[in-house]
Amino acid sequence: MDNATMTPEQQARRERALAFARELMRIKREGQEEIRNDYKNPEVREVIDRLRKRNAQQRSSRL
Amino acid sequence: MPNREAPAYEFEALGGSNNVYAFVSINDVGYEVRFKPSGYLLPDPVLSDYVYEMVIDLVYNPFTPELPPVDERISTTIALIVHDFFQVRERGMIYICDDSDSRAYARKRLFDRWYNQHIKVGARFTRYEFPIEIDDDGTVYFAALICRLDNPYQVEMYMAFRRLALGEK
Repeated sequence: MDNATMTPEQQARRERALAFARELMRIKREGQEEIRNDYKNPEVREVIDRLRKRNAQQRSSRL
Repeated sequence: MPNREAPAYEFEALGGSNNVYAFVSINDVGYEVRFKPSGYLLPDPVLSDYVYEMVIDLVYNPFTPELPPVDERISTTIALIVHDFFQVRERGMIYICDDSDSRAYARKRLFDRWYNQHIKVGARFTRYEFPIEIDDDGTVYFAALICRLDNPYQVEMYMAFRRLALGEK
């Protein structure tokens, strides 16, 4: 059903449903942006670098 | 527990208000999984403390600007992280598929496969899918709520999100 054939109540429902979906997507995008910038955070950098180091050690010990 | 066909990577829980977890793949790629508080979407203050949206992205990518190779261990690791997050049984987790590059359908198929392979198998969780919405600009929205079967707020959470997803008042 397209917008032209919807009753005003159906259109209002669709708008509310879309507003909810857009808000969920906004939270997701905000979280993605936070993650992409998180390596600048010293605490996160330390964890990631420690995990990278452990992976490298495991790889070299298998050789 | 999830089906461990591929061994998980070691992960660390950094915690914080966004419940951050991190791990690094065999290709030296860093991933973060966050559970962002999203309960403010719900009108019920009791439920609102327990609702989170899961977000996954790359925190360290040595392949930039290319996307890194993926492997089965990544999905196993994310499943273990989700199990860890659900140690608090009252929690509910929302996931919405990204439609960038118009790939929402493909991402939904991937999410379904991941859920069936790693989460559903233990029979400890349930998933509610919400009606698909297509925005005026063609953006497709798929969203789902995952709860533990013994979550005491499971039905209330589902009903609250169903009302929102259907645009009911």
